Amino acid sequence: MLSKLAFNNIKKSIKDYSIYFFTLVMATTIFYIFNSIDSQTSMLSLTESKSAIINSISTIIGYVSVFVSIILGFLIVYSNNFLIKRRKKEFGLYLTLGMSKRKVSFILVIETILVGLISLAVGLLLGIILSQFLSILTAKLFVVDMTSFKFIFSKAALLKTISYFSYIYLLVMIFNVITLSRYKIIDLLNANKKSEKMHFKNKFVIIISFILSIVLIKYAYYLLDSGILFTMDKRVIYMLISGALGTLLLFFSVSGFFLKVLQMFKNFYYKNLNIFVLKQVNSKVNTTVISNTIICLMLLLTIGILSGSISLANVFNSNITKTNKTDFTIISYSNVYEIDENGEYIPKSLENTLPDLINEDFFKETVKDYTTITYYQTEELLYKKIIDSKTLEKLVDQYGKEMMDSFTQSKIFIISLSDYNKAMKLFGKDELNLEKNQYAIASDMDTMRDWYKTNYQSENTMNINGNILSPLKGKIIDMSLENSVGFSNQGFIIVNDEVITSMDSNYSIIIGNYTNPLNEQEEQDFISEIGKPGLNLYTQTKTDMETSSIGVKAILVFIGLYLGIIFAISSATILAISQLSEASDNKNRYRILKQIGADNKMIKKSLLTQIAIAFMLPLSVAIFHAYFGLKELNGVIKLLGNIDLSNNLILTTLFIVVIYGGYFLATYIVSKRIIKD
Amino acid sequence: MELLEIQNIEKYYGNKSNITKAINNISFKAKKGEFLAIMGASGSGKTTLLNCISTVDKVTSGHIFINNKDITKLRGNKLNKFRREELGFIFQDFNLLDTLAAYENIALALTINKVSAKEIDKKIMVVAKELEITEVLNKYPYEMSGGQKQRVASARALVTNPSLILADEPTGALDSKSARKLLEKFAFLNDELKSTILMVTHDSFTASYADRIIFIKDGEIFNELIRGEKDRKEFFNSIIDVITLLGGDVNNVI
Repeated sequence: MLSKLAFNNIKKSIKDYSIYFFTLVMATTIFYIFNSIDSQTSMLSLTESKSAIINSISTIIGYVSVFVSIILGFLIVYSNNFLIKRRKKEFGLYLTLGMSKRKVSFILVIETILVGLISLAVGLLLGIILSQFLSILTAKLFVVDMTSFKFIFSKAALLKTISYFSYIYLLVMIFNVITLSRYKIIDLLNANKKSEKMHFKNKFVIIISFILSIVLIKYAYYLLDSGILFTMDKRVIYMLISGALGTLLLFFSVSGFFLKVLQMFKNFYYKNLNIFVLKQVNSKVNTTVISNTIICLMLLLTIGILSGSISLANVFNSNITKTNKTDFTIISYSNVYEIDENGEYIPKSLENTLPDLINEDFFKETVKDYTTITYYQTEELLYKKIIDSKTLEKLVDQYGKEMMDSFTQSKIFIISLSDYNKAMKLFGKDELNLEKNQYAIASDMDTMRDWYKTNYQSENTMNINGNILSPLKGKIIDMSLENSVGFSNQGFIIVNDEVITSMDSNYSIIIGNYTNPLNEQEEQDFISEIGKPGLNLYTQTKTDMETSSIGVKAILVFIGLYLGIIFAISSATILAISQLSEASDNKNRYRILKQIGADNKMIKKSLLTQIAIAFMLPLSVAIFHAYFGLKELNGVIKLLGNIDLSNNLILTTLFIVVIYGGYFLATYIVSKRIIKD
Repeated sequence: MELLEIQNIEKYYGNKSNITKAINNISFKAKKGEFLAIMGASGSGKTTLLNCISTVDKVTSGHIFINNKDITKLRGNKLNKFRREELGFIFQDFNLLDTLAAYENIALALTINKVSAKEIDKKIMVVAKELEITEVLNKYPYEMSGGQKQRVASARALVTNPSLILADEPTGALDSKSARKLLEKFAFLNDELKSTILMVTHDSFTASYADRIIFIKDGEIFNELIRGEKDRKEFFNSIIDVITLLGGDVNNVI
């Protein structure tokens, strides 16, 4: 009997709470899909190292999933609590009919189990179907072909999803029973009658909080702008606290503030249903300050995570061939040691290490052509010498003094023209010509070339090792020599060989190509031969760079999408559910409006406006924050590669429009239905 | 001059096999400036009748004319416009919007009618003075007494200058003192401002303020009582007589 009641309750409410069910299903689906990533390998022809990457991605996703399940737990408990509160009258009826609280709790427990089972089943089914599409994304990310279509099913992910969600529903059950046990029968019966007291806040409180919120947010932006993203000191905490507090106060005061302002425009205020809409929005603010702040934070995270991770992913991907012009780079740092006859470590001179390697048989066999390049430094030549003071000032503003100081105080690398031209020959590029008293700068980072440009083009002379040199006419050269994952050459100076004499060498590299393409195992053997004691050299290969670039990119994309979707649906669900419960509160108000002559068009418009304001308020604040946050983040990412974050905003916007907009539309449609009957 | 004319209206609920006749062939007229009460027990059909006149519900057959316009023929926006401009409603449970102050509640009736902001203030001040609610205009419904709330609701109904004011058990949720005050206001509106009021009630005391009372039983007109020259007490006594004839007090188990 009780379970029949529970079953009918669900059937009855499934329409009104369709958005809640949809979220449960979505959450289950997403959870399954991202946890099933390791099973994707079966369909793809992956090398060992790529499989290893997928394994580590799935480990990371495992950790992230714990975090995600906490968020989902909060979301589901919160939404469920909201829905339970709406049913007070129903529970009151059960109790007056003589049902014990235990039995009513039992109904709730059965309902939760049923809802849980249905949403799990539907969610998992959807997850299993949709995870097939994920393998297309995986294949694309890993630049591999799908060997053949195989139906992917991950038992581990299935069990994990079931167990995690079981815990969440168990939590929901406990909360429901606790909530119910605290209710008094008289309150339950009168739940609908109790008219909410309207607390309209004092004018001064509103104005002061509004001003204070603007000041706090401004301060947070100021801190953000002072380059703390580079220094990462305790000012970051100040910024976060000030930003969060400012946002909280903004939500507390903004509607009251605008209400007061709009009330002054009598022609607007006293028009159509404007009074009603404005007062309605304002009356809800008290109860929504915290939730608005949380929603805003989650949206900010959605925007930040998505555009940040996708931009970074692009950094690691788009230019991999440009930054890997040869098959390998062998690096020899000056602190290479050798053991003398007494068994003591003594520094081994550079000039000795590389020739040792070059004469090894395995090296001669594997390598077709190569060249050695030596980097030099002098005490007098620091980066600040190639940046003009005006540019430097701007940079200090942007990145902060500490970060810029540590950069400008470091020594520039110098290489000889003949070394450079040997590399060019290897790359198949044009050789560089320098006059006797000229120097050139090469960097593969757009940002860095911009930094040096003004100084370089003003043709200031520079004293390098006692020689007065002037810059080569034209642009700073866009070039890097070593294999690397992304753009990493901060800039080195090329001078004629004579200038170098008697300078201290810092490190040398060998760049070169294989005679025949190596497979994974052969390359690993080659690398460990080079790294063996005695030589003790470090190797970076093109394949390594490609693989790690793919790995970083895949991690960023998967984590970005996973968290992005979870945050987006969480924020949208909280909004949708609070709006829907409001709609049923408002049923009576809309009936009154109809009775005093408002037509359907007016009522629909007022409903749409209210929901739009509820959805747009946290989103617009989040976009505002994101704009300033991403501007700073852009500065960081620009340093990593020649990528502009704003390009990815389109994708992020699209993402938000689809998920958030979808929830908005669904909320409007369901609300319209609720107030109609 | 007839303001309201009801011709043979019927309202059926249910389907072919099981028809409930909520209103069974009722006709009557009301003059402009008349204070008309409709009395009947629960389930007699008086609220259905009011709903049909107020265009909230549709008649099954028959015609209702207000200002010589057949409102049973109106549809959609025309109907809304008619309701907005010609009718004013007063309800048992006030139906004020709890998020709005009294002033704004009254203003809303005007803004829906697209009255300009300047005129709104003037009109509200006039009607507030008539109903003695000037000092509560800035209060919210939860800060007001039942009587004040009902007078604010009356002001909202009155402020648009409707041809007909429809009141559904206006004293139902009021204590006797507030009820008396409200009814005196109704009488004042009727006498001095020539408002036409149609009031539905089951309370004899409330009905005794009207000029004429139509008694309804089981969806049909049972009796009609005109005050004429009687004072309110005498009129009240004759109402009680009719009710006795109807079968005990209206509220009674029959």
